[in-house]
Amino acid sequence: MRLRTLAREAWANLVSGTSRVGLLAVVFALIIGGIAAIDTHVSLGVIRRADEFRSSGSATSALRATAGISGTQCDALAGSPPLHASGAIRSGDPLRLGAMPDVTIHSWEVTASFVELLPHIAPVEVPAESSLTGVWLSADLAGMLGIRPGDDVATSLGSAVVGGIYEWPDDGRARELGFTILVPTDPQGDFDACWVHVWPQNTAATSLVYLSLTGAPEEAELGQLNARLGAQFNAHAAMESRLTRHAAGAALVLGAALGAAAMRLRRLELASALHARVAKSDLVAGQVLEALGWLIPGGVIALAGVVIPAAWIQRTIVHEAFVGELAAVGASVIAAGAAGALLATIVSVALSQEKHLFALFKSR
Amino acid sequence: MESAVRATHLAHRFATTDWLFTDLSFSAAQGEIVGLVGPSGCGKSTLLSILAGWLTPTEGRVERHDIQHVGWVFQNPHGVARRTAVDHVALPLIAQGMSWGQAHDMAEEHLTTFGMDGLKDRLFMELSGGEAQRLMLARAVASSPDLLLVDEPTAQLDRTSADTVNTVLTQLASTQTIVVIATHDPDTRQACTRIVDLAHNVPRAGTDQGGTG
Repeated sequence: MRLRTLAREAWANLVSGTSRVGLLAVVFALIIGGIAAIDTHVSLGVIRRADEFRSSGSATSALRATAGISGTQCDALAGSPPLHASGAIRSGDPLRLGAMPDVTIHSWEVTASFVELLPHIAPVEVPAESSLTGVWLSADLAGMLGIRPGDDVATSLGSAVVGGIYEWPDDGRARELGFTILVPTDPQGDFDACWVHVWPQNTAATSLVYLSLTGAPEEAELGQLNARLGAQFNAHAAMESRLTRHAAGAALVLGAALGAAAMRLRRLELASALHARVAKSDLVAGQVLEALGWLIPGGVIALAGVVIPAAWIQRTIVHEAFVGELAAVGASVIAAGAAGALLATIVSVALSQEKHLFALFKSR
Repeated sequence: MESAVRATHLAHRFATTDWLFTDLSFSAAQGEIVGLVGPSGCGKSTLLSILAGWLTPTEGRVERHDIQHVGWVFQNPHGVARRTAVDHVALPLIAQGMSWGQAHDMAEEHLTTFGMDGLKDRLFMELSGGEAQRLMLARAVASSPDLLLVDEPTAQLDRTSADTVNTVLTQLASTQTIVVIATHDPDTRQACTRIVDLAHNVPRAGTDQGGTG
C-alpha cells in the first residue's frame, strides 16, 4: 500500500472516531500522567531534601587557619563544577551603627566572591566611593534597622552603602555570621578561613580548599558549615531508591495494556482487513499511525500535568535547575508509557490472523 | 476443466460434539457454484472454514489448486461502524495497489452492481442488515477471490435483494471464480451448479458420500 494512501486511511479512521482517539488519549493521560505526576511528586521530595541540604550550608565546607589562608588562592578555587563558589573571610574591626550607638557590631572582612556562598536577597551594584561601600548586612540586623539594599548606613568608621543583605537563619549553621556586617575587601593578604561550596558533594573537590592554605596543615581545621542534616547527602542514591523508582516500568506495562486493549477492541476489524488482502506490514504501519494519533495528544496532556506544577515549583524552590530534572522524570515515565503502547500495538497487529475471523464469528 | 478444489473423505467433529459429517467427498471446478445445503447445525459453516483452510478436518483432506485468495462472506456481516459503505469496498482495492481515488471509483461501481449506488456515503452502522450483507458481498467480490465462500447470503434479504445477490454470484462464477454457498434459500440453490447435501450425509457408521450433482 502506498504511504500516502496508508496515511489517508489512518486519517479517515482517526477523524471518523474508529480509532477512539479522544477516549484513548484521555485514558492514557489519566493513567500514565497520573503515574508521572506521582513519581514527580516523590522525586520532588528528594529534590527538596537535596535543596534543604544544600541551602542549609551542609554542602559548604570551611578550612579554618587563623591568618593562614591566601585570599587570592581561595577566590581562585571557584568556577569549575562541582566546586561552585569559594571565598575567604577574616575577623574585622568592631563597628557601631548610628542607629544603635551603644551596641558594638562584629564585622568580617571578606573577599568579593565570598557573598556568592550566602543565600542573599537582592544585591545591588554600588560605586566604590569608600572602603565601606557595598557592605553586606545579615537579614536579622537589617530587619531590626529597617535597612534595604542600596540604603546608606552610618557607622563609627564612616558612611557605607548597603550592597546586599544575606539570610543567616538559626538552622544549625555556625552562628558567626548572624547579626553582623560583611565588608568586601582586597583578596591580597592573609585570611582566617576559606569557604567552598561543593555540589554534588565530592571529597576530592572539597580537598582543593587546602590549596589556599599558607600556614602549617596541622594548624588547619576543615569542617562542615552546618552538620545538622548529616555529613553526606547522596541525591543520586536517594533518587535510585525512591518509592516510585519503578514508575517508568509500571508505565511501560500499563501503556502496553492500554495499547493491547485498544487493539483487542478492533480485533475483528484487523482480521477483516487481513481478509481484505491488506498486507500485515501495511496494517502494522497504519495502526502505529493511528496509535500516534492518541498517544501524542495524550502525552501532551500528561506532560502538561507534570510541567505546569513544575513551573509553579520553579517559583517556590531556590534552584531552577531542579525544574528540568523534574520535567525529565515525568517525561521519562510518559515516554515509557507511550513506548509500551506502541510496542503492544505492533505485537497485537503482528499476531492478528485472518483465520481469527472464523473463531470470532462462531463466538458471536 | 481441472478441478480447483477437491475434498476427499472429509469427516469432522469438535471435542464436545458428535460427528458433524463423515466421508464427505466432492470437487468444484473454476466457474462452478457449489451449494451446501442441510439443516442448521449440520456443519455447513464448519465445512466452509475447512475449505478456507482455517480449520483442519478431523479426517480427510482438501486440495486447492491455483487458489491465491479465498474470500468469505459471513452470515452476520461485520464492518467498521463509522466508516462509509464505499470505504469498506475500497479497502481491498487499495490493498491491491490502487490509489485512494481509483479504489473509490471502482468501489462505487461494485456498490452499483449490488444495488447500493445510493448508499455509498452511508456509515456501516446506519445500514440495515440486508444492506450490510450486500455490502460485504461487494467487498468480497472487490477482493478478487479465486474461491468465494458465502454463508447464508440471502437469509437477511428481501426477495428483490436476494435476486440481485443470486444474479451477481452467478455472474461472478462466470469470471472463473469458484463460489461455495451455504444456503437454505431454494432460489439460491437453483443458481448452483453442484449441490452438497449434508442432510443426507450419514454420521460415522454410514459410507454414503454427501456430494451429489
